[in-house]
Amino acid sequence: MKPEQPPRFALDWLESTVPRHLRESVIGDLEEEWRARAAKSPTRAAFWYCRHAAVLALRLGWFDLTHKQTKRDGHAPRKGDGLMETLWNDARYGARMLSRTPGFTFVAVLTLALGIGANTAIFSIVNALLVKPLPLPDSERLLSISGSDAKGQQQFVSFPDFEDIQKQQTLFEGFSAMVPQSVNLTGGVEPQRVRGGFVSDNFFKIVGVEPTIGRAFRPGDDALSAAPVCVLQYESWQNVFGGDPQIVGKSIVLNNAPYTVVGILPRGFRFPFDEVEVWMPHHTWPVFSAGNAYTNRGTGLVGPVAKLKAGVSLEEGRTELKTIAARLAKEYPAAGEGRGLQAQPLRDIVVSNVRQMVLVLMGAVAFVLLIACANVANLMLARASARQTEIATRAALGAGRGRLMKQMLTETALLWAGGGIFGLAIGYFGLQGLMASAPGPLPGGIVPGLDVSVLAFTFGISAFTGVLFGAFSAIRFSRPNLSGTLKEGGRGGEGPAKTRLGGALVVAQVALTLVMLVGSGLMLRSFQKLTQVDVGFRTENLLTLEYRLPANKYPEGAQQWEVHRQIVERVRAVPGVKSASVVRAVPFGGNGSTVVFEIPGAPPASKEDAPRVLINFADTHYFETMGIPLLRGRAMTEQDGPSTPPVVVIGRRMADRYWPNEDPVGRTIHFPDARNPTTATIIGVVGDVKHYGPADRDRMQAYAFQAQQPHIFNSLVVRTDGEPMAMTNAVRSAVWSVDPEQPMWKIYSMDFMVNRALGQPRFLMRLMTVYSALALLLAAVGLYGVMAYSVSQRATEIGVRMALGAQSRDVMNLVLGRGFRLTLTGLVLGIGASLALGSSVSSLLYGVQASDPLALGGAALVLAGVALLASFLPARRATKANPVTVLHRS
Amino acid sequence: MNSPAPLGEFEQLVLLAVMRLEGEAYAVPIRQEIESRTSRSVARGALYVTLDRLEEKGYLKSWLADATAERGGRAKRFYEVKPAGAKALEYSWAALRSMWEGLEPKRREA
Repeated sequence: MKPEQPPRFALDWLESTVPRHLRESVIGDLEEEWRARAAKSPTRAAFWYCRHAAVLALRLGWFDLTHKQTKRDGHAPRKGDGLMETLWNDARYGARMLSRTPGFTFVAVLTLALGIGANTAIFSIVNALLVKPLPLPDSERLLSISGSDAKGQQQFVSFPDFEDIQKQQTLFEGFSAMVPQSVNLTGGVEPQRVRGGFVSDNFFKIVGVEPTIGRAFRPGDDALSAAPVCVLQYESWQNVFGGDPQIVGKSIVLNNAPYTVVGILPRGFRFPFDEVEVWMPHHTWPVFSAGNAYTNRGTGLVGPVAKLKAGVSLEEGRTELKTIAARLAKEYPAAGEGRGLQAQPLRDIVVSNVRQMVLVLMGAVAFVLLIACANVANLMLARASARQTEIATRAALGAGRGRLMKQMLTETALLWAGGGIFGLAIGYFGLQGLMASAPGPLPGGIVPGLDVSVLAFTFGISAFTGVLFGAFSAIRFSRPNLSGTLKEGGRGGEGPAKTRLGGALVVAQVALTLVMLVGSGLMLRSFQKLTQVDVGFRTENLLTLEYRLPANKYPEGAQQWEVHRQIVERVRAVPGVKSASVVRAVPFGGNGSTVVFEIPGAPPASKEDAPRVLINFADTHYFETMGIPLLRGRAMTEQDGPSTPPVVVIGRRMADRYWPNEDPVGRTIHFPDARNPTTATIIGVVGDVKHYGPADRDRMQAYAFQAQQPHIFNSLVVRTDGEPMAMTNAVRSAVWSVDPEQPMWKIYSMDFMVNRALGQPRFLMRLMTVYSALALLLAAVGLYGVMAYSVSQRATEIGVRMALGAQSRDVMNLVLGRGFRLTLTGLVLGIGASLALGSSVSSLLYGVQASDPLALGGAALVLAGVALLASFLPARRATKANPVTVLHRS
Repeated sequence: MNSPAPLGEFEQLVLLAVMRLEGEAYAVPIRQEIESRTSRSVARGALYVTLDRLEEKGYLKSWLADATAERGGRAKRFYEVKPAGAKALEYSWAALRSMWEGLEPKRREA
């Protein structure tokens, strides 16, 4: 088929670039010629057309740009005429000058591009996390509320307190309970676990979202007597229910009870916590519906979400909460004297885990940018002074100071524009790389992107630094000492002030680079320590998963324990399984809780100062399965049970603390705070484990026996012969042989969980290493540039010295001495700065002090080595110069 | 002095081509005319820029003719040499001729 039109995009380009009065005829002419060619070979003609369209568009577009000015002024362009014309000429002249020194231009643009690019990538993340509002309407007014005890320790709010707060408050649009907990979805092909959120009926009003299909919760939906209803996340509707258009009004089975689906939330809506897939009224939360949660003021269960009224400040909201809390504490002292209420912006909670890391990274890239700017400033200074003759000549020929300054500024602007554009590209790909190599997605479903504010930010810093240094060298060199410079035979004399300035820049670079190197050294050491931590159990060939029994199917503790016991028994029988156990909270899994305890006979502590212990619930084979060493006594056995006295196994730390010189086995511990206060006998002592991850501090630990304190929630740990994940299906089938409707989730190998726990420090360490290597490279380039320049400026002096008998060693010492002094000054300043900044990273470090001598010394040594090399090369060149040639040249 | 601004060589070629084409002069044939007579290639962009400049100087006038289908419905811009243009050409020719006097190529080679 013969094409009717030349390539569309080329045509469009012509349309938009060719000056209006020529457009019609130029495009027509080209099309006429194209048609003649297209008749022979359409493909060739298309290429031909594109090529010529591009050339014409450039040529005529440029013509138009330069020509308009002429037309407006009414006379032909002459150099120095008109603002636009001057700018244009300056830009062209600047571009020509820059292209004459491609090495300089390349290094300068690359330096800037790296600095700006690194900043763009990190700032995109900072912007998404800390600057941009959460993707919810009026999200800045959304608060997360928590209670606190008399010591200020955070705790949940009891339901009666929560209801009283709602009644008494005046400054909030509303409060909603929010309890994230997974629920079992049954009735499909396989039982499934979906992430649930149990909330008050006004939750969607507070969050500001309306279902697109069906309705939100109505007032009264969270009343105890109300029929269970639920609202689905769009994505779970699609993925779990296949987007069934008739689902609203249908009944689904959650936690073994029917719920009517009343609404589907808009596509893409996500509450920034816990990726909830299905929302239910709080009265259906198993913990609420069971027992006396609605009337028991003593047990905190709710972490409410609240929204301030428009125009109310966070401080005003906090003050009101404080007043209400004080009133409640006075009215109901039994539920906790001195208890309070805290409010945090929702965003702070969402980003709290990564905030410190992101800020440290931002500091690091800001350093890189500073180093890059210092580098370019140095290059500009060297270049400007090397061009003194040219500038002096132009000044002598009548160029005004302002004109010269403008010329210098234009060149700087060109460099920075180039750096900015390439930097943006580096930033874009850097961000993709960062997100791809990050240990996980950002919290709260926040997706960083290069948006307008990021663009404005990068071009802002790029322009600011450009103008700063451009103006600097412009002011300095637009005042040439005409006769002096020209008389010296074109050899730009080196004023001491200029050298000092270059030196100061190098010192600053060295100092900044040292801080970066120390930072990455600390991260490296910290990571190394983390990987060497003894976690207290064997991590290899261990499969873990979690499940929760439906409380309405197995209401009695004895029934629950029976199911758990059967599950373990069946799993143990699977071929390839060495050993299997259940435990309430598997190490590194994120679950865990502490309880208050008393040692009979020990002086009683006040309620606030009561010691707490990390409590876990194990079965008979748990320590054996995990490889946790039994140090004294015995583990739980089949002989222990609901009818025998409660037993407890304690960790070594607790044993050493309370029974330092005696055997704790046989002693008792009293747990007063449990719903059924118990006194348990210590039957054994085991090794401590790092429960919350390798960086976890050492905690006092204790294990109760699940048979004596059963619960619906459990974790399964399975020691396998081979690759644990390969056992997944066999283990699942074993569980389903006990109850085919039981879902399981978080099916991971322990190696994966360990690796995941190391994800953030590893990521941070790698980034710091990359950024500090970048800083080191830039600083080396800067130092080399300054030394090489200073050597070339002192060529005559060196020549004279050598002619008068100086040895090359003397010359070497002369040059190296200066480089050494600069480096040393920078190192001293850098060490000072590192120590001063240490506290900002200390929370990210494990097992290493911010003043770690190895990190400090190592960084200083590396930097000193690189710096010496950077000044050694120019120094050697100086000694190789033939004095006759050098002197002859001048 | 009343003499018009001197013409560049390419400007002369363009003006002469427009003259030769007698009312049929638009960019495509102008370019072909110069290329076939001088055996050198002419950049389209340079030609448009020159035509535009000559028109601005008052040496050429142009108008848009009717659109034709084989040009994708685009009109041709026809050019015609104005008296000032003819005069400028005369000046250039005279200047060249006087400079050449006594140096005609044939005689020099002999």
